[in-house]
Amino acid sequence: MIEFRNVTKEYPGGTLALDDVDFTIDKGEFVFILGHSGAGKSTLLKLMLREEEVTDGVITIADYNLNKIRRRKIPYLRRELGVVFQDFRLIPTMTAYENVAFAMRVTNVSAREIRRRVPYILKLVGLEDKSQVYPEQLSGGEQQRVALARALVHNPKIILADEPTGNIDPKLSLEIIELLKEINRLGTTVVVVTHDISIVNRFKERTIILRNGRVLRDTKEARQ
Amino acid sequence: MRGSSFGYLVRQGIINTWINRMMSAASIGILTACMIIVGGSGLLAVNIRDIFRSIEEKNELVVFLKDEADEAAIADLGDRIETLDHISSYYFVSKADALEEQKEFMGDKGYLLNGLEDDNPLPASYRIKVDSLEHLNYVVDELKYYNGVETVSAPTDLARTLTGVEKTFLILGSIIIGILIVSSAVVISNTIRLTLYARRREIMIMKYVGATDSFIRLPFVVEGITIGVVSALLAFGVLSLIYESLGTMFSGSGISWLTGVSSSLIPFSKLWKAVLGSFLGFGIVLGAFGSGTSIRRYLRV
Repeated sequence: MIEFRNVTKEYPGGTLALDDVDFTIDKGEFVFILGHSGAGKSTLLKLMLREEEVTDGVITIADYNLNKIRRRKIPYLRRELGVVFQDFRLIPTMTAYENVAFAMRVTNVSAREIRRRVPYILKLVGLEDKSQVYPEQLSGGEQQRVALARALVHNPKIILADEPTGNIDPKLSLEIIELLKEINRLGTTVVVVTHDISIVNRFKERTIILRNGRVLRDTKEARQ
Repeated sequence: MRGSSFGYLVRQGIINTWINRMMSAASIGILTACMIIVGGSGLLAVNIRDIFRSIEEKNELVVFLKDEADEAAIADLGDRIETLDHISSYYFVSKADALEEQKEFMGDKGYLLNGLEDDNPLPASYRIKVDSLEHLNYVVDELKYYNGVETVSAPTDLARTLTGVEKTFLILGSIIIGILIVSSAVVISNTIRLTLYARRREIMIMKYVGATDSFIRLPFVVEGITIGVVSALLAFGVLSLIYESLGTMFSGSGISWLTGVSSSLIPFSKLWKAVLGSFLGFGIVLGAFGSGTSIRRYLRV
């Protein structure tokens, strides 16, 4: 599902963000990518979303070879990837419902399909009562659920969560991870990028530890 | 693209224009002013052309012949005129014809010329029409020194002035219009850039959820076109008012030459379609172009 083959990323100016990173994440896996700031987590995400291109190596995601993908095709790659950010990135002038519907409207989904799917997804993340509420009236955890609903609405093959618990208090953080695990149980591959080792320790899931742009440890390989 | 999606994006574009209404109003104002100036110059040019054309229809030159020119010389000159370029028509007026013409011109005093038939002081002539004022001087120069020619009379100074005026007008007009078009495009593009800035968050989200470039671009192009169309309609309204009221002002002024000008103005009923059409075309193209250029930078990622 996600394949990094000897991926190196060097930014102009000589900063080596990723150095010979190599791992495979299979369909249906739940994986933490753990690292301090500067370990290369953001670069990893940018490469997966094809905001940046690799300097060396090959990335394959959901049958797209990111080295060869055409610019026109990038939006279709991104529809396979649901992304959740630390700062939620909701549109403040839209209700929870509108924020989720927005993601469908701008990707050519019919109005009927939107009316059918948005309530279903909001229910899935436990926000069916808050659909007409604006983001500022929601707690951090609830805002992150809206963002998660938006990421799920295209029925993506993979959910990428970038520090999803960074702006949420610890108790609610566990709920978000639980929700991600629930989504994983329904068949979606989930990748959680985080620096929070306490979260990682709490859930015994495969963890790829990044340090200074290299894979320091991959618990899957360790188990084998 | 689905109809409902298209409708949604178009609505977003119009909403953008409203949310950003201060800048929209500013750019509509500037664009309207540009269009009025360009359109005004256009109307002036059309009218001047019209006047020129009516003058050009009188672009007759007269080749007066020496009395001693015999029939052979006259025929020879006729052949020469026949082969000359830029001549639309010509005819010969004999001494006798010239006298008849003069008598007619003098009306009831024509009898005064009676008895001159045998000692006719009027010269024979060729009356020539040239196809355009530009070529008048060329024809005059060709015929002036020809055998049997006494003088050539033609409005050459007028021709020179008018062609000069027309050319200067054309060059200056193109420069001014060019500058106005460029500045209008810049103004629109700046307005759209403000909207882009205000909506950068939404654009970023659109990209992460996999919206295609054309989906992201469409509302902004719609915003540009909305500005262009509103400006075109405003400019059209203002310009038609100016044109009509100038006409009535001139004709009612009591100053004879102004009244003359007003009567030769092309009526607006004959021009409005062209004016409205070119304004709308101008507005739509500039609006689309202005927004297209400013959004390109935001689509890279």
